[in-house]
Amino acid sequence: MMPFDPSPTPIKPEKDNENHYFIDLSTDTETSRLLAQARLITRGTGGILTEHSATDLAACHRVLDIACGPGSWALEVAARFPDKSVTGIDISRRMIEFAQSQAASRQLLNAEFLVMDATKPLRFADASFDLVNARLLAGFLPKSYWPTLLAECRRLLSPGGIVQVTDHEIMQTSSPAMQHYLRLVTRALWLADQTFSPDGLQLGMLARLGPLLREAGFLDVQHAAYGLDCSAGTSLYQDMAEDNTIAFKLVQPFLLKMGVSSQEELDRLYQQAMTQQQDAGYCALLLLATVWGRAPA
Amino acid sequence: MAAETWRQLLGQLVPTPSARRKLSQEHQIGLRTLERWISGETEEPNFALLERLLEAFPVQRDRLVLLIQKEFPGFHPLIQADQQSGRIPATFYARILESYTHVAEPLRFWTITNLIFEQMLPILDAENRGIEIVIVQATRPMPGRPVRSLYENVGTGTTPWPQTLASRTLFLGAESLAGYVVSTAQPAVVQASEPTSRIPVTWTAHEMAAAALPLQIGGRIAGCLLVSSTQADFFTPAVQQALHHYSNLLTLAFAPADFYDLSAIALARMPEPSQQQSLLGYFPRRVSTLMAEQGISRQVAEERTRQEMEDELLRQRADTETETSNHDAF
Repeated sequence: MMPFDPSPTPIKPEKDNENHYFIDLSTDTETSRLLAQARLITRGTGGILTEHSATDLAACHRVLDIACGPGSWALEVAARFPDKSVTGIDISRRMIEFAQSQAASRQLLNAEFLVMDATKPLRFADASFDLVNARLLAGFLPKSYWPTLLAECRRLLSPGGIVQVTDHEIMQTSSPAMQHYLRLVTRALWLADQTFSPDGLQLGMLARLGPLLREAGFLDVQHAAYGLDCSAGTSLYQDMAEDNTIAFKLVQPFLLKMGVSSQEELDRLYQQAMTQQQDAGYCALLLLATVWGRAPA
Repeated sequence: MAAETWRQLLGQLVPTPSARRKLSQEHQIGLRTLERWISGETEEPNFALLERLLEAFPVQRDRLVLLIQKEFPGFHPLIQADQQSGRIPATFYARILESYTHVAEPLRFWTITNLIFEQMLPILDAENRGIEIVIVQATRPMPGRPVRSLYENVGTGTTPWPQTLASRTLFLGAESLAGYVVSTAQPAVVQASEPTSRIPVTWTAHEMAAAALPLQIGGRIAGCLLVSSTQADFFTPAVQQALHHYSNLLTLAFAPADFYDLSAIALARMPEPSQQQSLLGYFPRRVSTLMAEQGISRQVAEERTRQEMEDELLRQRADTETETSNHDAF
């Protein structure tokens, strides 16, 4: 009998021990959610690379996106700026394969995607990039890795190159069940040592980004803050509600693993949160900040 | 700046050394050859290699051919555009099939439709001229009744259309292009500049052409894929072929119970969108109330609310028609 011969380019299963990401990556549901989330954030913050002047951007020829996921940000940069060479890295082979196929389909020859672990030294030469971007790292990066990663960013940047980091605080909503659920997520991330919160009540990322960049030796550190109104009736509401619907399900195994809740409690809270976010008076605000600085000349 | 020669266009398409290297490797065109083409050496290029270049850039293909023929009138590509740009990569098919077999049922529709939208949008609208893609689904009927309406379930778009359908979940019926396509189980393409009495269409702002393709498996229909464009000549044979492939793939997003025999579909005429708005505004609240009162999932609550609203809209339309005919009688 002939041995089973899978397709020539099978999508390789993710191994749990490969990364600290808090959501299961063994199917494309998370890929799909991250694509939708990237669109939401890009729309909510007014676009990509809007924080920098045209002169600064013109000097950035080589761009690196760390933990690029399915490649939304990197692909957008590659499409918008054909003169820039964009590299995306992510630990997930599934995400990278998706990003590669998107780049090929869209004929973005200036975009490449590589499987690489951001918690380990990155396989690029010193001063390989002029701009390094990282968005929403709290999902996988332990607190203690931040200084190492930022030192690595500094090594990879050309003199005067820009590092920019975007992260968020846990969403504020008028739904008691959703707030309860979000607190469980925050606590679980805190227990996993992936937040900067002193007490596990918040993610604590926004306050720490600026000091982290300065401690890593970056100069001229600046920030832009964004408040995304995702309340009922707003243009972002439907997309955020959809994200909550999917993410709250996908995060359940992580919450159970971290021992912050039981399946019964999660099921009950999920149902209540989904009901409450349908209320006409539902309010939600997501706070994000982009912090950037320059590598010393 | 618009390229005046194919060499300039190629230089714009692959402006960096890494992009040229990648093109060279992926399409087996020598790097030195590429550099010569871009720098403008006058020797007649190898036409077989130029064909490979066209394969690499299906979206810019027509423009490349035109510009190459300006310099080399003898160049006539053997492979036609339709054979290229209608293609969907095999890896993408594999990916969707994997989601079909591995993603749990409640998340499957969302996962598959999102992945397909992500693939479709930048390819169909590479130049950001404006398209909207909507999945129109049959409203589940009460037991023993036929399907009487369709609703806009999910969608995406590029400017001037919004990125998502958001709360626009209009009901459509026999008066619409989607309704015509679902009722006949045949695709249709219409142009605003060429009105036809055979196919009912209500044009919206910016919409210059539209296509709808049934989402069907073995003659059973779940709805249709509806695509609108700001460009009158958008739906070339190549685009239609691509949409045909995407509509086949999209059927994998649906559950078997979402498909109906053609004989079980008897679409009514639904009220105008403006007349639906006041009722649809209550959709989220009514779903929320049902979920809270009956402890049912959002999906079930939405389905029941749609059934109720469909009934109300049809009654509203019947009342309006009765009123009109009473007026006429006087």
